[in-house]
Amino acid sequence: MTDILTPPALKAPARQRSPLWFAWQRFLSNKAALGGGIVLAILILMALLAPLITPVPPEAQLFLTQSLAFPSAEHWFGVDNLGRDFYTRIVYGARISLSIGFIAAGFSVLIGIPLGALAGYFGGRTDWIIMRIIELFSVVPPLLAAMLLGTLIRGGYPSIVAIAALFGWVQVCLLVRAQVKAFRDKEFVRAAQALGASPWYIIRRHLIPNSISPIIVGFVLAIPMAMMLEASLSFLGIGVPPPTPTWGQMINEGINFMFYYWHLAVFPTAALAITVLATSLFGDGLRDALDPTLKGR
Amino acid sequence: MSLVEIEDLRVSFRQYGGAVDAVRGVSFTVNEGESLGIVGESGSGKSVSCAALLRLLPPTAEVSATTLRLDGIDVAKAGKDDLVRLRGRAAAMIFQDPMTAFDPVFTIGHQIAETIQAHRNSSARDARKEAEDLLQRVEIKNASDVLDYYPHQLSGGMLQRAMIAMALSCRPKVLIADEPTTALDVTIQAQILQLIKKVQAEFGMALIMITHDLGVIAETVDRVLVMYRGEVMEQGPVQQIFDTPQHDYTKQLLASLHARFEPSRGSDSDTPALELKGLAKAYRIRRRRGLFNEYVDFHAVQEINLALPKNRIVAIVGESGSGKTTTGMMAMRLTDASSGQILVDGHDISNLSPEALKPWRRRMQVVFQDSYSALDPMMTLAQIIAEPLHIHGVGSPREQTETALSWLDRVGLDRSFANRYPHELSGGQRQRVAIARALVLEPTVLVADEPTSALDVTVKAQIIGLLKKLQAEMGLSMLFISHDLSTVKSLTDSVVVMYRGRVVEEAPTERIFSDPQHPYTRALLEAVPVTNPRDKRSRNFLSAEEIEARTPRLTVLQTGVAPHSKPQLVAIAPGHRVEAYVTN
Repeated sequence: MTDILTPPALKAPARQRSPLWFAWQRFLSNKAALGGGIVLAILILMALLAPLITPVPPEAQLFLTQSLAFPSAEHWFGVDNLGRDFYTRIVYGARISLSIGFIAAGFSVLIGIPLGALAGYFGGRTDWIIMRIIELFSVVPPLLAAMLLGTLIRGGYPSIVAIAALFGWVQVCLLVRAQVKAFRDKEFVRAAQALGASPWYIIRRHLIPNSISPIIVGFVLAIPMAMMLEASLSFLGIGVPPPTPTWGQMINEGINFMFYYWHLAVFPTAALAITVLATSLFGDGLRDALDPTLKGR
Repeated sequence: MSLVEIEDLRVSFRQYGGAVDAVRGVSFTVNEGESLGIVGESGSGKSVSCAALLRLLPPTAEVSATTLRLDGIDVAKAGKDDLVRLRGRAAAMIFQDPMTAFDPVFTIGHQIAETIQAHRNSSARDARKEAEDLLQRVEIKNASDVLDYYPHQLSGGMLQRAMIAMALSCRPKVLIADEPTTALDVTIQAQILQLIKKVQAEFGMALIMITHDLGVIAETVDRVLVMYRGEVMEQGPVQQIFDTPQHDYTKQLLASLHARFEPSRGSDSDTPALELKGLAKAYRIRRRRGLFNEYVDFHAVQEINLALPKNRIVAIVGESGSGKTTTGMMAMRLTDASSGQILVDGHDISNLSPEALKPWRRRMQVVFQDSYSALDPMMTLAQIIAEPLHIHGVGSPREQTETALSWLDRVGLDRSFANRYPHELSGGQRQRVAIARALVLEPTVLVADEPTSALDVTVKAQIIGLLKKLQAEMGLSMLFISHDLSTVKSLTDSVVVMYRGRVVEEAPTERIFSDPQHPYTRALLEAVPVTNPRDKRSRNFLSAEEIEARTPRLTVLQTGVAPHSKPQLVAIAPGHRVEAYVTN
């Protein structure tokens, strides 16, 4: 009798695989997401190392005599109408696109997490107000609103980041809210309440760490959205002003020459498409990997 | 030839980086009309063995067996048509959770009739008629109405009956019941077990009863198979297993049925550690009436008075929905009470603000039922146990960690667990951590809300032992909320019985088990599974109306209180109160 009531102190079992390890395995088995992740990593590296892998500065008009030249061994993507090496400009364009994507997504997360956590934890009136704000943002087409705001505050890099963050936080907020709502009634939250922990403590210490996977997913999915927004605005001429190279601008200029000098439109469009596709695939893969309930698909 | 023949069955599940052996070389047979019990803790492979018999395992499972025959058909080689015949006609299965076993969008009648039509050529009308007939045979009184009910309209017990009716619809030769009563209340459990025995006899079926509860085994089966870690430890006639167990694991299982503890010492102080005065909880329910909304109060708990003396363990028992958990949560101020007072050590804390309440939180703590959701999955065990110290700012971070480590020792876990995460632990180990977290602040009052109901029998005995040991060491006053009467009997000093949000009886533990007065208390005690197959008996069950009708009637002379048209709690002996009608 006594031996079953007082077992010897139990030794810790051999390390078991953590949920993150299984998530990583699920991610690895998703070929599209893995490919997207690799491409994205290469693009980031290219953007970071731009001065090392390009022959000339992006704004230098060194090849005016060869303006509009087609791709060649010397100029991989050709030369643009103002005599600049197009390959260099595409690589530097990645800097703008990616940095806007990441910074805007970062701000989206910064706005989305606290609002989502508040709405999810307190519910009731707080939730009602935040949900109405979210609805306001979902009803307005982002591009139209961005155009309006863009013209009002005269474009430029910071304003594009601000506009993208303004429309990107909604998704993050909804994801965090759903997660917090699901965890709010868990017993470890009640145990913390029984210990006298304040709502802020519970949100900070328990609910946000447990929302980490939706936050990562929200962050990654906000990136392509911001990049598309930047490209659209630059294309319309209210984005980042020239001569800073951005893909949207390049597509805009390339269109004028499209029927004679195809390379000016094709390369920036392809760069944008590949980046957005890779990020989206990567984000979708992350979401599936981090959400075991979707495992079956 | 036997109905079920299994020889050297092995099942393993493929996983990332290796395989898990769930069943390793299990052999058994079941003859026609025989009832076999398979007992073992979770993960012992008892359910997997039976799922392999019906080929219900997921594709990641690898099954091999020398013989795997059901009703003369080799299951491993069976084609699609054979499988259809096997499932349903040769064997039918009842699952643990009837709520999820039915499709919520179809009526009960539709689902049973569908099963009948899938196996036999009968018209829709005949199938429906037969479904009604089946429901009557499982003792559902208003069978014709129930046919048109959706699953959510029925209680767990009723659904389990309907589930049995559905299993019977194809006249199976063997009925496999996989923990059929684990999700049910004691009283309902006894009814369902008796029903399964009855239909087994009526239909002449064989029965395989899978359970972790030896009481269920003692009540229902002739022969027992004890499984542990995918292997058969022992098998034999039920009486032999109970009287002369051979294997150590079987002995442990049996020992856990008969756990006994010293009564707690009590205290000289007259002030109770925790006192609830007229505590009540009502929920407002909105009902639509014509164009307007009407608000009705639902009384989850009606004015309850309860005292928890210092250094004592008081149990609150009752079925689910009786308000026992709500009472515990109100006492902890985790749920707001509608009215009434909560006195801790004589001080009313029912109206304190969260800030004013914080020092009181140190003195009262709670352990929850579900150890899986009770620990934050993103924190290490040391962090979890140190969290209360952190919240209350006790000591430096280094001291907090040191205290947490010493508490790991105290609850019987090695210090090497400190940097582990909750998902690496078993249910019993998690519950130990939850207990450490609740007690690390050295509270005087502990509310334990069904702390063992999700655990295996042997683990349960260990956790109860741990709670009792710590209670005695720390002089804790404990409110033990449970529906498990055998634990209550061995652990607690006095018992409060709740029924439909009211206290119907309250007495010292010994008295309530020897001399129950209220019909509901009697019904509860009557339903406790026996601990030896020799004692098994057929039972009578009271309906809610019968319980109301049999409420004791006492006179003013006997009780010394004024007569009232409604039943009231009256004292009939020192410390023994019962709800009764008082008349002149």
